[in-house]
Amino acid sequence: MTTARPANGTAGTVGVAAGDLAGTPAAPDGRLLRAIVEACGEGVVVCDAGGVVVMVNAAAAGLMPGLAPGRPLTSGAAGALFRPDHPEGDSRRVDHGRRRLLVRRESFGVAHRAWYLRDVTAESARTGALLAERHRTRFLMEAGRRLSASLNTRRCARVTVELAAASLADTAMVVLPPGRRQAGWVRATGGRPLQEGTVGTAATASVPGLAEALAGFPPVPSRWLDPAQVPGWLLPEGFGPAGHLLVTPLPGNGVPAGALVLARREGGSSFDEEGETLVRVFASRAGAAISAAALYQEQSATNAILTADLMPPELPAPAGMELAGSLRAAQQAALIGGDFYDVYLPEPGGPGEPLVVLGDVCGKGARAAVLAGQVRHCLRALLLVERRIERLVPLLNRALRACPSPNPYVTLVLGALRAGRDGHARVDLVVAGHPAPLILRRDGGVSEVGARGPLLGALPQAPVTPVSVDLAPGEVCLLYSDGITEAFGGPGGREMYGARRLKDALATCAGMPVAAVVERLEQISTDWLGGAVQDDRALLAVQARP
Amino acid sequence: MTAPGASAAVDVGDERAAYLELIGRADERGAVGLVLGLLEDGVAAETLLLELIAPAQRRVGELWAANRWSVAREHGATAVSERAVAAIATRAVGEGAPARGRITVACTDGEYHALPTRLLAEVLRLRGWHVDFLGASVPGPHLITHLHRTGPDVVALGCALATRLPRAHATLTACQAVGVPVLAGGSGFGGDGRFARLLGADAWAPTADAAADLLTDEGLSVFPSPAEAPAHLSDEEYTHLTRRRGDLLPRAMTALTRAYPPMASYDARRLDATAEDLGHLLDFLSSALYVDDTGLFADFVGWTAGVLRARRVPAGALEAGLRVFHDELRDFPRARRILTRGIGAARDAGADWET
Amino acid sequence: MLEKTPFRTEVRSTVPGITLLVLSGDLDYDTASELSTLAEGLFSGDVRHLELDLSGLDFVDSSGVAALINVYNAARDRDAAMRIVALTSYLRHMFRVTALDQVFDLPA
Repeated sequence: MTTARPANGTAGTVGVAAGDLAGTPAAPDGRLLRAIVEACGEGVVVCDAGGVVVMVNAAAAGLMPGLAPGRPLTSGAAGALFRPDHPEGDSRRVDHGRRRLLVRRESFGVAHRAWYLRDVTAESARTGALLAERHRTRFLMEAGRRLSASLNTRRCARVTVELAAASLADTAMVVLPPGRRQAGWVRATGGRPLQEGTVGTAATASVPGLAEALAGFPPVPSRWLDPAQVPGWLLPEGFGPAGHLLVTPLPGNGVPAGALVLARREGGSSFDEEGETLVRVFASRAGAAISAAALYQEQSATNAILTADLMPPELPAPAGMELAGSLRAAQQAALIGGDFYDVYLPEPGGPGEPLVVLGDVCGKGARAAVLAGQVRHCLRALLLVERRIERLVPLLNRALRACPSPNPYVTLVLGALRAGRDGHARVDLVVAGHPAPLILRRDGGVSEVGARGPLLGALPQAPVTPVSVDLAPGEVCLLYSDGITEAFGGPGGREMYGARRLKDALATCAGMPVAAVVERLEQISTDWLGGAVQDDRALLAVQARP
Repeated sequence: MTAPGASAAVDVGDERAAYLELIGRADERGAVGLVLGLLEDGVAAETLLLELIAPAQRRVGELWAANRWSVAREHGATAVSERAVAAIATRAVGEGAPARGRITVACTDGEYHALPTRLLAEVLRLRGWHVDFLGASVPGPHLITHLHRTGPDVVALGCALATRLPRAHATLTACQAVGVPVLAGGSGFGGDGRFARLLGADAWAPTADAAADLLTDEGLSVFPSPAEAPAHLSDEEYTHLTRRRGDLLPRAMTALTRAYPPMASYDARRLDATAEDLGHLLDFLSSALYVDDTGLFADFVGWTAGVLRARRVPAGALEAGLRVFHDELRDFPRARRILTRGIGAARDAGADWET
Repeated sequence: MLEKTPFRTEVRSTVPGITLLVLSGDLDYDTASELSTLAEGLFSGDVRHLELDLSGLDFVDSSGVAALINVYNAARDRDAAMRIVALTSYLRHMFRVTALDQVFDLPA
């Protein structure tokens, strides 16, 4: 401790007064107190009411070499530390040179103020690092959550740039793997709507490091990239010149999933080593998500092409008739199954009548759907040589018996449609192992067509006899699969819907357009199932035009 | 968003009665001819959809609910309106590729009232959106597969009947989980959209044009923070009731036969109809539990009372059925509270008939 | 959701030379292959007369019918006989619809 002026007031009186009390241990005198303050690890500076230093301990002197008794407290660099408006009793963190200090002020009477200084540089650095780490972890967790949610390439790319623009840079762009002519891109910039576009493949070469990143080469550190070379299309309009650029490949599953381009404005902070590491970790997650999505897109596009043929056809309106159909597959993602229907129109001007077929292939899901597709194609081909339905069916039976797939068993109803007189329509039907069609009359009467025959593909012979039905205008012939009648559900959940209920439901449809009939029956069936879908369900109705 | 100039030339309000008459007769040619004629006279397609067809269909719903139109007539009229919408869409769309974002429009699984949703799809198409309309009763897995494949900006999910709300909730949660915000629409979400908010939809609109107005180019915010499951579901009454449905209904049928002697003489068809009515009551009770809304159930009871009255079922039968459920559901305090309100509503409806 | 009844098979040989196969539960898409495998094993042994008791079957779907056809075809290929000795009215209806009642040996 160095010299001090004679102290008046509180601090000075402590030592004097305490010793006078008889019977109590002697309180430390002024010198002892000074020694105690001197030994304190925290810096202590005492000054008088005029702001002149009266006492500085060693710790304080070490932190602030300029402090000395007799000098004004706020001389030199100390001004920022000892602010006159510092609330009493409060602590403040102040950066001083390379140090961070915790500063506290106390008053002792009216004459003295004491300032306490603590060096918290190391502590702050530890907390700062911890906070930064926590921030990074939270960012990566959020990125993981959002990136894993979608299997759509475009949406994954959008999520990537949104995340990056919110946390890593002023603007972020994903350039997707270029095709032969162009590459798609998505860009997010703080406070602006997302932008999307394409750029010529050749133009990607004009961005420093981009061609390399798109080819999957490891990222080039930001400081080697010259932001001045950035072409105009890379940055959003009105962004201003880029100060810092970082181009990072998005590594996919063995193939690059594009590149992430980040830019910060001039005057913003540069990408430091830690920042670049974070971007690389983020890019690897984004890349994995984008490439998984790309793979899914490719497969589902292939799938869509393969299953397009297995979907029910658009129904035409043959002369004097209306058709409506509905197909609900038990497999709910791709909507394919073993039930099918189709319509075969004669060649324009050619002989023959339109044919309708509704059938059910043994089994479920994709395997059944493939066989159903084969049956439809097979019928189309057989029609070139035979249009009489009672002869078509035995031919189809032979074709199925020659089919190499296991259990190539099919049940179906085949109908030939003819416009009759006075708006009537005639339907010739053959039934092969399938529930017989129902007829809805104008008066609401419902009857079952009296035709039956063997299921196909199982036995050497498949003889069938056609039955002819006459429909007056508005009357309906309904073909359906057993998924409708054998649906378990109802109020108790385990009752079979059955033919009786289907007939009753059909009876309530008298006078409806045929599309409404089919929709109503499907709706009743769905309600009966109560969400527990078990089997494919098909309906196809022919109506003599009302 | 209707075209004021076109409306000034031809007031479609004058055509509504004619249109309703045509669809009431299931006169497809007449109805399609009427709308195409108006289109040629310069009436905007959107005006036809929203100010001619939509109000007519609302009227059809009212007439059916009031038992003035049969189910067959209602279905016929709706089928004709579907054709009219298709005819307008074919004529009016096709000027260039859609310039705005992509939107998937679908009805909740089990939901067959597709026309309001279809109208929204067509209005959005007219306003330049790329629309994928998936139709009635779209199974959840199919919708999600579609979202992955096409990556739309928004899903518009229609739900007309409150009994589909639990499934609508599952679907909209699944859509949000793959990062696509959901715009809920249709009367199933409550006349004021309260169920849409409760179940965490990103937006709600009462009508097709309100929905279309909500969808600006900025779209809805993507990835809202995941909504908490409604707190009242923690009593699991909904779960247990759904699980016990299969036992509860046959028992209720038996109990009702004792409580309401005329049932003993019902034939199979009449019994089916009664079981169906009880099933609907139970489904509405489930939904009321799911969204914790007593009014939802009471409203349905009041409406059922009207339908039964039209079918000449005595007023006491409905109250007897509700009492059976009330007695059976001993361990369901929340369901019992809802049922008590329902019994009150049935009694009020009964009192109305007496006077 | 509908609970399934488990599919069960039981092989009995009461009368010499005749094997009785008793089936119960749901014979459907998930269980049909069990029947085909079982029948294959029986015929590759020395079974010449197979009798089927189907009265315990609750549900048979198209895959189940396929399995029965496969048993019938396997019997014919080996000059063996398949006879159905008991069935439900639901199955009788199903065999009628598929015209298998004209192929299978059914009880009167």
